[in-house]
Amino acid sequence: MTAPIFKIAKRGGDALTDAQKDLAFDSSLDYMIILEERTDTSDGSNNLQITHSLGYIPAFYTFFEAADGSWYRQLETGLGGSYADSTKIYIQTDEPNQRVRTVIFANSQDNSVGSGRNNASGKLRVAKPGYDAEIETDLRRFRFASGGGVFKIKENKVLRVTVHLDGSGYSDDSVTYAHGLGYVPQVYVFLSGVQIPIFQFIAAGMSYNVDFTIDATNLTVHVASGEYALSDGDIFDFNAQILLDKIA
Amino acid sequence: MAVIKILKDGETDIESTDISKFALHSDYKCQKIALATYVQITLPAGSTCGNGDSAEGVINHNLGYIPIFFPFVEFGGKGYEATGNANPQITVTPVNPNEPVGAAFDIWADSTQLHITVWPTGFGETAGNNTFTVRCFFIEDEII
Repeated sequence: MTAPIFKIAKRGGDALTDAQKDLAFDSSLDYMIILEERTDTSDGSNNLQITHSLGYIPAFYTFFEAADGSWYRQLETGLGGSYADSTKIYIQTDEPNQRVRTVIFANSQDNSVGSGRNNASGKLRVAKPGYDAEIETDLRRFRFASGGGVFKIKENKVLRVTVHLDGSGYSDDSVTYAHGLGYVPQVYVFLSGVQIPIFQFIAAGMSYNVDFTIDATNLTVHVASGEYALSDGDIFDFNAQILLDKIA
Repeated sequence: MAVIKILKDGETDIESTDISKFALHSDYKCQKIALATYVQITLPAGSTCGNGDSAEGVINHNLGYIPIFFPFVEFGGKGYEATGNANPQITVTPVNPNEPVGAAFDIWADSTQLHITVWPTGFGETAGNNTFTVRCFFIEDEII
């Protein structure tokens, strides 16, 4: 028997004809299922360990709070960075006693199914093929579960930064976008620009620096360069997906 | 027009305008996974920082647009969050145990593939044979 498919179109759309990527929900796809959203503070030695005890390596997503109250992704870590094993998530912060927002997904990093966990919850649950949503208890065997929900998309936005060199050949340019949410939302930011293809962020090894921050009002993207590392008029496009889920 | 809303566990206000309280709200798209897969990449023994040594890998996603992607690098039982250019940087097995060496990753996407480049870090240091698994969730929504 073919499993029934449950589709929800956005307001004004048509669930029967809209492209899959334009639907609000489609039960034939998997989702990044949120197991836990938490904010922790690192210790005086910049260390933060979060015990998840899942028995597998979960996917996770982190943001760090800056001194001015905005939040950023840690784009340059040196050796180490943030990683998970089957018991904990290990985070090296840039400052002692720094707040970190961590979303732990029920999905293992390889999205594999498993058994033995008892962490499925929520009134709407969609099991992966071959599993029974009414019986299974391990979130890895679900495509969707409403208990912790999933990331929801507010909008996609392109922010373009044009480089302006000063008289010494240096640049420092920012563009701000007011997202209008009144809280600090989760966000993905990707970049395309001179000398680089599109990829996820940019950091070390370049003679210019690109970063972004987000607060309760604005998403701000920023490009700064050393002496004639860039040319006047160079363009960087930041492609952001602003989510409705909270950092703070 | 009907609106379908499902609250997360612990939330009670179905009329809330704070969409973060909802597991699903039909006015907004959920972030759907188009594909989750991986590729293994070996940085061969003798790879030396500063010599231009590197290894490359590709994952075909064939979505026809540049998708939002969410990568991790697994090595030694640890799954590292990949957040930027030359990131993550992972301590790997060196040729000389007394000369630690790292490996750094660039990960980027086009409309058909995810591209991964890994190279040794620590100028002049030489890596042993190291194999990495790069795992990636491709989100069914385009970057542009």
